[in-house]
Amino acid sequence: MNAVNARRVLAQTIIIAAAAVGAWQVGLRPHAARVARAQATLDAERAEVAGYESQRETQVTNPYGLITDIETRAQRLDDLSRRSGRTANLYDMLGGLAARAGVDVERIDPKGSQNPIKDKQAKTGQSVAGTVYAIEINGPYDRVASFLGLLQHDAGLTKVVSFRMTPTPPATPAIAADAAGQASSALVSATIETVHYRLVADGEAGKTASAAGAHP
Amino acid sequence: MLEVAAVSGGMAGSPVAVEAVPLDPADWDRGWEQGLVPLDAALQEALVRLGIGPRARATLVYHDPDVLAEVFSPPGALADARKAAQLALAEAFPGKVQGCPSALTLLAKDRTGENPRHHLLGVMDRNERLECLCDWLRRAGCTVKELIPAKALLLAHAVNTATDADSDGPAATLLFADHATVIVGVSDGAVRVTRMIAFGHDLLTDAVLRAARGLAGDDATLTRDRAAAELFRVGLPGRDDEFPLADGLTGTQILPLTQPVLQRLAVEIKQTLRFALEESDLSRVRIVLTGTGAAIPGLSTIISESLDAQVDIADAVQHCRNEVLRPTSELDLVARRRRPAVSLLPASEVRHRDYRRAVAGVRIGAVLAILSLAGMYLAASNTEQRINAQSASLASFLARARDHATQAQQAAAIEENFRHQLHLVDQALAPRADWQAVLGELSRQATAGVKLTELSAAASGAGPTVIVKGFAELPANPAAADPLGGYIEHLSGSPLFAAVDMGPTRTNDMEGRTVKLFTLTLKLHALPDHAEALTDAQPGGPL
Repeated sequence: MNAVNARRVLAQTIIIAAAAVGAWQVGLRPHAARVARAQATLDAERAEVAGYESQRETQVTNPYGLITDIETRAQRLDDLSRRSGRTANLYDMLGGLAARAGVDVERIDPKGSQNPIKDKQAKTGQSVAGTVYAIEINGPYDRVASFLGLLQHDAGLTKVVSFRMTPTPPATPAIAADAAGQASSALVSATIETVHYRLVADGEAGKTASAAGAHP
Repeated sequence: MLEVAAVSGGMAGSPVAVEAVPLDPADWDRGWEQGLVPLDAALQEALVRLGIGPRARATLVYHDPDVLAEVFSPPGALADARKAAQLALAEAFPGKVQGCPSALTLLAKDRTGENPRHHLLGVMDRNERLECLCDWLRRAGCTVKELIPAKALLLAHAVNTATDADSDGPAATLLFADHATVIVGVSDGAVRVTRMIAFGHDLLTDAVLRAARGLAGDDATLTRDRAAAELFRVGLPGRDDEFPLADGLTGTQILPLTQPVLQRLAVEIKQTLRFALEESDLSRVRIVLTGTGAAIPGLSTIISESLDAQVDIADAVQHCRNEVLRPTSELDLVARRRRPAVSLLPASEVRHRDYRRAVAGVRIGAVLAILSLAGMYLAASNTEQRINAQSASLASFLARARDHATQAQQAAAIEENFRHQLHLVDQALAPRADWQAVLGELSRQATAGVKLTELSAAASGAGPTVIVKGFAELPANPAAADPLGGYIEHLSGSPLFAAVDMGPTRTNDMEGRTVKLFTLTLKLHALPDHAEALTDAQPGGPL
């Protein structure tokens, strides 16, 4: 093979090699890279599936039902909070409870707000704000007891912090005495200190105190 | 003589036609000097007559007085024998060896003897002669396939005929061709001698032609072709036998001219065999006559009588394989499957073939590259499709699983948040006591004579407590039971109270009765957290 032919063959070889490299670079390499990425994605998906399969026993079986259940219960808790936490409704509610118990409300006196109770470990920023009231009522001993029960069970997030019960009128020697074990119907006067709580988010707690006001 | 055979199906196929163009041997030297250009017309004419188109692949068998073709039989192993034969070939070549194409091929190996020899056919020719032959073929439009010296074919055929003979005794093969004679002596299964002599039956043709021309003058019809044809048709005549080449031509005119040729042939055979065979073997040597000359009628008898030995005509001559070709002619030998690989190619043709091989290699490489790239692309596409199909089959499951996981996380977060709310509420409401029950219990457990005058209760950090103030009427009979003691005892037995502590007491007169004023501090059992219980209430039920 003479020099001219050798150069010609070399040139053809270089051109073909360059074309092959170009075809590889332009067409095949991106394609291969795409396939490699798809394979990696598939492997990751398989691993994810395997992970889900292995977690199936430990995971919540029906998260939708759980969410619905919690939302329902949260709604109930919110209802309780609104029931006890809304000042505007509070007087009507107490009046209603007194009427149901059969006692007379002499006075409802707001005593201010408690410091909000926060759960330091929680990250939700929620707290419980309470408003303190002093409630003076008159009525038979057993009805006053019923009123206390209603406060605890039907007044939302309400806590009876303290109460003091004395005979009415003051000359009456005893407020409750029944040798037969029956509920006494002696008239008593009771001063009840309650705290009415409501769930608040951060920055909302300050509004509680200002919203509270005295009621004759 | 220029003979052109058309072969169908390549050189391994059968010759289908032959065209012969007579050449004058006197013009050969001039033809070589002019690069065989004077023979262009003859070749092209033959090709046209045979209908051979351009680019036909041509195998050329040529006679060249300067070509070296010789059988070397060095001792030793084949590799060593080859090296020795190569050196001997270079040494025997009359001229500058450098640049001269050569070939070496194994013809036979002795069947007997302690150190059987390898018989190697070596061929070497000048490059310019080979270039000349290639150019001649190319000018005629042919593609050069092989250039084979006729001497090499004849030597190979003679040796093969001798070694193929199934005889353990002394034997010889006499190949009598147009321009050459080959004598091969074999004894005890081993080739003893191979000798080529530069004369052939063309000398007999010349003798017959000269005798005819001496009788008939310059008759234009007296050609070598006719002379050869008559010679091969009727053979050498007896002394008084007529020879149909010319009127009145008889053996009387011919034999004096042919006798020297035959005598020389006999002498050469005797000398050669005497050199190669034992004296005792000479009397019983069997000679196989082959080559185109073997077809001359009566020649084998003449040789047998002159040598006093058995002369048989070779099977290859008696049983013609192809009617188109003369048996054992050069074209017949080259058309056989069994022929030596002794093609000589000039440097230009070698370079051209190298170039064609390189170009073919490049093209094959290009095709392979394209196929490889296409294959890889298809394989990658198939893999991608498979992956996509598998990914698609996983997609719905993954979507559900991811949604499930998200919902589970969300549920966990919501539940955690809700638990915190419940905890806050429980923190706010604690400690708690069931005040209605406590008041009922205080009233129910009150024994006769015990009156309560003040109740105060508180639910603080220490737990819910009730402070009870009252008085107990003391019985008139000091031996009677203290009603306060019974009250305390009853309260202590109540599950609502954790402890009943009595404070200071004081005896007093009240409306004429003696009473004991007392103060009781009751510690209550705190109720458990109930925020969760609050939220567990059925919807629509009392909160």
